Parts: sequence; C-alpha cells; structure tokens
Amino acid sequence: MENANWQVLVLMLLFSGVILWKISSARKGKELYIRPIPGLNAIDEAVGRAAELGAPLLFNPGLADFQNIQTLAALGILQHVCKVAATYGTRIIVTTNVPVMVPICEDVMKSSFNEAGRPEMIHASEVRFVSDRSDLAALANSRILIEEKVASNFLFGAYDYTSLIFSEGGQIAGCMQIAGTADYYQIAFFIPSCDYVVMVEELFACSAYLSRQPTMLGSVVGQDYGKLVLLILVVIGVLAATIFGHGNPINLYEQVMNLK
Amino acid sequence: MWKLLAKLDKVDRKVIYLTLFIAAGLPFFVSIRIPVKPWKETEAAFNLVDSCPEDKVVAICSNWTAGSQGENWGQYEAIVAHCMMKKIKLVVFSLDGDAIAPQMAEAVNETQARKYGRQYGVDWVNLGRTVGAPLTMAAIGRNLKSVFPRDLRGYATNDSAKLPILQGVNGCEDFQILWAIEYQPNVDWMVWLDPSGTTPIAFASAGIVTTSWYPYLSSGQMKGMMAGIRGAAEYEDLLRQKYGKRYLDSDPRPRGGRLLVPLAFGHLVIIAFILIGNLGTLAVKRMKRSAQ
Amino acid sequence: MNARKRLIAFVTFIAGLYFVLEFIVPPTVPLVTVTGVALSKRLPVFQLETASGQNAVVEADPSVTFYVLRRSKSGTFEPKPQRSREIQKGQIVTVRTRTVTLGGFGPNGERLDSNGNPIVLRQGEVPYTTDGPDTSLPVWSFEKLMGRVGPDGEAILAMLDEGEAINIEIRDAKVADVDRGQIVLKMNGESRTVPITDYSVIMLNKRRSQPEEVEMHSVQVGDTVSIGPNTWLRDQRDTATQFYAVVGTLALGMGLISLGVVNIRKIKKRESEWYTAFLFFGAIVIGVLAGLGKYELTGTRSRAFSDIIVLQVINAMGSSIFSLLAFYLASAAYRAFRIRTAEAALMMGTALIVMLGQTPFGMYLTGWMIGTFEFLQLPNVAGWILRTPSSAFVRALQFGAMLGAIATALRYWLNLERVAGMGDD
Repeated sequence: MENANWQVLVLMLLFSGVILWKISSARKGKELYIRPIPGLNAIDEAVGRAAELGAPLLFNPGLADFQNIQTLAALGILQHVCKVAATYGTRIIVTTNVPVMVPICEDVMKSSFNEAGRPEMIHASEVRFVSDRSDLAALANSRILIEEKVASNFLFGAYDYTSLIFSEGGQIAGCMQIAGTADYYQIAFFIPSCDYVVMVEELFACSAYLSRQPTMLGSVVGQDYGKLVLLILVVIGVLAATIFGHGNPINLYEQVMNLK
Repeated sequence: MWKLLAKLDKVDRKVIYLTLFIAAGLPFFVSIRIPVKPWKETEAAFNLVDSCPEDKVVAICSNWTAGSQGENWGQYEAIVAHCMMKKIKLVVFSLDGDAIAPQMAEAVNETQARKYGRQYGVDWVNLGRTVGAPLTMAAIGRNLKSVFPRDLRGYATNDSAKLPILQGVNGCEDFQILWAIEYQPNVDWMVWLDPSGTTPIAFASAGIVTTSWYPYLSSGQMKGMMAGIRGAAEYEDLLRQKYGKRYLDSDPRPRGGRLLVPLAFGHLVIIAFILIGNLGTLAVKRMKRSAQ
Repeated sequence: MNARKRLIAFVTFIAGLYFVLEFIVPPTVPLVTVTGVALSKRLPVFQLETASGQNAVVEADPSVTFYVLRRSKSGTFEPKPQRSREIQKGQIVTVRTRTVTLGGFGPNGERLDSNGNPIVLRQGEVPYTTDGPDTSLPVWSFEKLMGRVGPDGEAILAMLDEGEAINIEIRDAKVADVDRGQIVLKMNGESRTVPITDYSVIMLNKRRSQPEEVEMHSVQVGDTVSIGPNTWLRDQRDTATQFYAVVGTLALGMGLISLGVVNIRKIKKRESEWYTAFLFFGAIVIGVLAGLGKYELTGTRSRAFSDIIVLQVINAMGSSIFSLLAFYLASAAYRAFRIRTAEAALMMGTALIVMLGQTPFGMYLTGWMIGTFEFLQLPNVAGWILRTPSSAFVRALQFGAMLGAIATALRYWLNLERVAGMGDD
C-alpha cells in the first residue's frame, strides 16, 4: 500500500524468480553442490557424545517469536536433532522464552520422533517455557545445563545481549556447544564459548543441508545466485556513481558534456 | 623467564573477575572525570532534537529495561532532560518491549519533570506499551491515537483537556524525530513508520550493536545515533556545552558521564588480559621450542 | 496432501500474502487511477438526520471531524475519528463541525467567539463543553449560548469564561445522503472533472517521496494528486494490527500454564529443590499486585509497592544479570583471543583500535597528533573503520542474511519447507 513502489516489486520478482528457478532446476534432477558446514556436520557428533555419556541434549530455538525467520530455521534444525536423538535414544530438553513456541516445539518433536519410529521418546523429552525475559531464560538455561548434566547444548535462532550468558554457561558446565544465529554481532560472543558456530546465511541453509531435499537445496543455490545479482547491481551502482555522480570530481559524464 | 611468562597462558578466571571488579568499581568511589569528544552521529541527533519546533513532538519508543539500563538509562535520561529543559514536547511509548519498560521510562520522566517543573499531559505523555511490530509501527505512523486509545494513566488520548499535548499529534508527520531506545532497536522502524521516509529516526542502542547502524547512517535512513554509554556521555557533553549551568545545576554528574569511566577502565582490563594471554601463549611456544 | 496440511498451507499463504501485497500493491488500483494537477475542487457534503429529527448539512472542510462509535479495550463504546471517505450512507456518526474559543458578549447579549464574531449554530448543531470530567455535557440550548439564564436560574454558558473552548457537534446522526464531491484535474493539457465515489482514495504525490493519502480538503490548487479506487486491504490494516496484538497477548497465558505444570509436578514428586516451586507461585501473586499498581497515580500505596518491586527489586536483579556479561566477556576474551595466524593479528589490531578509539583513553594516547596527522588520532581511525570498511562488511552480511530470509520465507509461504509440525508428517 503506501510502502509499495516499483523498485520493491522489481527486486522481489527478481530474487523470488531466481530462487524459484533454482528450485525448479533441482526438482528436475540437477545435481547441486553446497560446501560443507562444519557446525551442522557436528550435530551427529554432539548427539553421539550425549548418548555415550547417557546425558540429555539441550536445545534452545532462540529468543524471538515464531514469526522470526531465524526461529523457523531453528525449528528445521530441531527436527533433525530429534531424528538423530531418536536413533540414539537420547533425551532432549527444549527451552524457550516465547510461550507460543511451547506447543510448536512439542509438535515438531512429536512428529520427528514418530517419523524416526520412536514415538515413546516424546514422554522422556520435554519443552520448558522458562521466562519471557531473555536474561532470566539464559540463567534458567545455565541452571538446567548443570542440574540435568547436559552433554550437548544447541543454541540456534535469534539472540540478544544474553547470548554470552547462554554460551558461557555451557562452557562452564563443560558441554559440547553448537550455536547458530543470523545476528552477526552475537557471533562474536558465541565463537569464544562454543565448539562450532553456524553463521548468518548458513543458518538459513540448515534445513536444506541437513535434509538434502532437492527443493531446499535449490533454494540455497538460488540465494547465492541472488547474491550474484546484488553484486552486479552494486558494481553497476558504483560505476554509475563514479561516471555520472553529481559533484564527483571524476564525473566523466559532465566532463564529456562540457567538452561538447 | 619464559617459564614464568608461560603461567600467564592459564590465568585463573577468578583473577580476571577480581581485576575487572576493582577496575570497574573503583571509579564509583574515586571521582575521576574523563573529557569526551562527541562523534558526529551524536551531534546530528542532538541538533535535530534541539531544533524541534513548537508544533512537533519528540517521539520515543522506550523499550529499555532492567537488563539494558546500564547502556540505555543514561541515553534516555539525557534526551528527556534535553526535551524538558527546552520545553520540547515528549511522547513516550513502548512497542514489543518488556512489560516494565513504560514504568522505568516514567520514573525517569517524573524525576526530570520535577527538576524542570514540567506537567504531565502538557509537556510529556507516556502512552504505555503495545505489541505487534511491524504492523503497529505503520499504524503509529498513520494514527498514533488509534494504537494508543489510552495512555499509561488511563486518560483517553482523545481527551484534549487531560492530554493537550496530543491535540495536534496525529501521526509521524508530527514527529520531529523518532528515537528508538533499547538494547537493539528494531530496524523495521525505518521501513514501516513512514513510507515516504521523511520522518527522522535515531537509535540509541548498546555499543556492541551500533556497527549495524552505520550503513543506515551513511544512506541517510537514520539521522543520528547514540552509541551506548559513550553516546550518552557525548549527548550530555553537548548539553553541557550548549546550556552550561542550566543543565548542570539540575544534574552535576549525569549518568552517562559517570558510567563512561568504569567502562573505559573495563576496556583497559580486557585489553590488558588479551595481551597477557597472548604473551603467555608466546612464552609456551618458546618453551616448547627450546625443549625440542 | 491431508486436510491439516492443506489448512496450514492455506493459512500460511494468506498471512504471507498480506505482507507481500503491502509492499507491492499500491493503495489505489493501477491503470484505473487518474493522476493530474488539481485545478479546483468541490468538497464532500453530508446530509444528516439528527436524533431529534432535524436535517443537517455538513460540508467536510478542514475543521470538520467525523466520529464513529467503536468498542474500546475497557468494553465501553467510545467515539473514534473516521476519515470522511469511510463514512457511508446509513451510518450513525457524530460530527464535530468546529471548535470555538469563546470571546466576550455582543451589544445584544449574544456570545461572541475570540475573533469577535457572533457564534451562529446551524440546524442540528449543539454546543458541548470540552473540559471537565465529562466532555459530553451539552451546553443546554442555543438560548443559553446567547448568555440568557437557564431553567435552574443560572446562566450556564455565561459562566464559561472568555478563552474557554466549546465543541460544536451533531451527535448520533444518521447519514441520509453523501455527495463525495469532485476534483478538476489538469491531465495532458486538458482539464477533466473527476467525481469522487464511495471507494475513491486521493493520494497526494510528492516529489522524491511516497504518495500520501489525504482528505479532499487538504488538496490545494497546484498539487499533483492521484485518484483511484481503494484496495480493500488498506482499510483492514488496523484490524490486522489488533488481531496480531490479541494473538500475542493470548500466548502469555500458554507460557504461564506451562510453567505452572512444571512447578506443580515439582511439588508433587518432591524433585530436587521442590520448595522453590512455592517461590514461583508467590512471585506470580507479587507480580500481579505490582502490575495492577503500575497504573495508579504516584503517591498511592499500590503504586509505591509496584515501584519498589519494579524499580528496586527487578531493576537491581536485571542489572546484576547484565553485569555477568562483563565478567563472562573478559574471561571469554582472554581465553579465545590468541594470535595464531596473520588474520587473527589483523583482527586483534583492529579490535584494539576500535576499543581504544571509543573510550577517552584513545584521545589521551593520540590526542597530541594534530594538524596534518589529526586523522591518525585513535577516535578518528576508529570512526573511519566503523563508517567505511565495517559498514561495507555489515552490508554484505545483511545482504546474505536478507536473501537467506527471503528464501526461507518463500519456502514457508509456498509450502515448500519440509518441517514436521508444519503439516508435513
């Protein structure tokens, strides 16, 4: 409506078109390559460690609401973690500071355990709403890590200043930690305390990387093509500003026009 | 010597905590003043607030709470003091913030109002809290009173007798500037508040997240910024430079300037330990090499 | 696709469609909209039937505001301002035709406004006071407006002082007929009369910014305006916002229930530190009391209690938790920031410059560099790093994050994402 303008329309069509084109190529059977993401490869290792120690896993899908895209990406990872945990018989505790995430996470876990053929695991695992405040959620997380003697801690989603309390709590408890967020200024806090960190766009590639489904792989490749389009636009913009930029000392256009 | 230095590679956590505690705590007992030089982002925001005409208001989305008050309280206090000192009308609300955010903001508002003799409903109003970004941001931009039919005290926002400040305030066209004050303000303000993009927006956030705002500052989408405690101290310094005694009389040692000193010392401690740790790592390497 | 999955896919699509349309569909229907320079206008005229049976005619000029009764959060009906284009035939409205500031009295005892003009009431109009606890108090009748004595022996309006304001309103009137008016536009060198219909939206086009919807009376001669049919979604935005807010608030109850279940189980099974569960329930009671006191006036007991809990207890505890960060940061930085490669050395150097540049110590260390070398002062170097290379890197990260978000959102919107619990069992 008032926010509508043709530039947004063109960009949306361009990026969506590229992503959908790549999805359709993938569905037609084209082989697509995604580089290895160490943090995601380590999920199996983390779950295995918990199984060996006979200890549970702790998963936190971030501090944001369900509508946040990072939370949606985190749910995709939760699904994979549940399936792997089901094969090992490892208990999962999911903590959240958003009330509406409780039934959503329970649903994801139930479906994943059913798919893995271990529906009884839902009774051993649980989803806990800890507090709606991020700082209290971080402390509650740290307490659960110690009380339940958690072996592996997963922190995926949107985080704020409490990210260091989340991760350092796990570091002190001696857990293996894998974190992932698109909030790039929190990555600096995760890196010193976590064993693996999944950064920014890698988080959005998680579902595709873990499931290896053609549709999802296609969308990840489409993302990269979208970045290429942006790069071309940036280069064109830089050149245009250089050649035509008003007040630019090396404005070639003005120089040419003045000569004429 | 290397053997001694190698011990620095594994300094106990407790030593680090104690040193930081002393370094950050000492300035609260020993009066230390550090001069500040305002950065241009703070100056830009200050000038925009300072030039607010009578028919416009300064709108503040105040989402800061107990956790982020270290960074945001001083920022909020500086802006409120500025507005109340100059009798600039202030409209405060909270969007998707903590439930106690309006109360914390109101405590500051009331303190500053007592200092400068300002009246609720005439010079400032606190509209309370609502949820639902980003759609609510657009609704605030179109019609503020439709989002907040009542203020924090329960007065109807249409009641021009109780809240004359809101009489001419409809939407974003009546905002001189919108401040978003919290640990990490929502970027959606720049997109959703004003589709025409003409309403000036400034963020007052924690220092760590300010790296994200520089692209918006350079493109002009954001008109100013306060970067953490440093930003608060700079804003206070600008107030001091412009209004001198009038500002200092009401608050000789404002919060931002007071907290900047422990912050600076804390930074020094962290830098020192990083260098110490690297020295220890170097010593360990040397020892291993000489052992071979 | 089973029914559940289909329902989830449909609801997701509709919800996402709204946001897509917000950024793609203009407020008026393209190709049907006309754009031109305004030459003249005829304002909308509303024919009203008042509750007392009188007929009133109101022209929608800038001083006129229309109100429609809407149910407020407290459950009572309150008048809410409404745009004139949204007022339809048959609707019950309250129209505030003007607000008048009272002046003195004329030679015949008639009440004057602040400009010295007699206050003239048109048919159907009733003056109302604007102050006092009940702004709906009518100023008796027109005779009383003239300053004459009321039935209880007191001069009512005469008691209102010079400088006081009254609202002149037509309350609870039914809209009998609407003439939306017209605008004459200059388009392609010719003038064209554009009638305004029930569904027309007038957008004022501004140079270098987005068009803005305006009322007819705001259009000035020479303004470039676009007039076209409204897209229905536009008027439902406030409803969508309220729905959004309601759902968000509903979710709070779910969280409380979850916490309650966990703590009750703790007490029943006597799990470790089960007595802390009682603290939880006690804290809920205290929190509710503190929350109720939040809205009281300063000085009352309940407000004082609320302030103690929020400003002194929660505030202090929250700060303590935040202060943990400083200590954790110091130990994490000491543990992790070791220079093992050239890139790590570069990162370390940059971090030191930016950290020192942002504190006054940077100025102490390099403040002596003046003149030609002033740019080498640590705050200036730190500022340049933050504004130039750091901004570029942040933009690049934001591009990547944005595209990832678009791709993920597209997958969810078009039901291509295979997540359990989203219908894909």
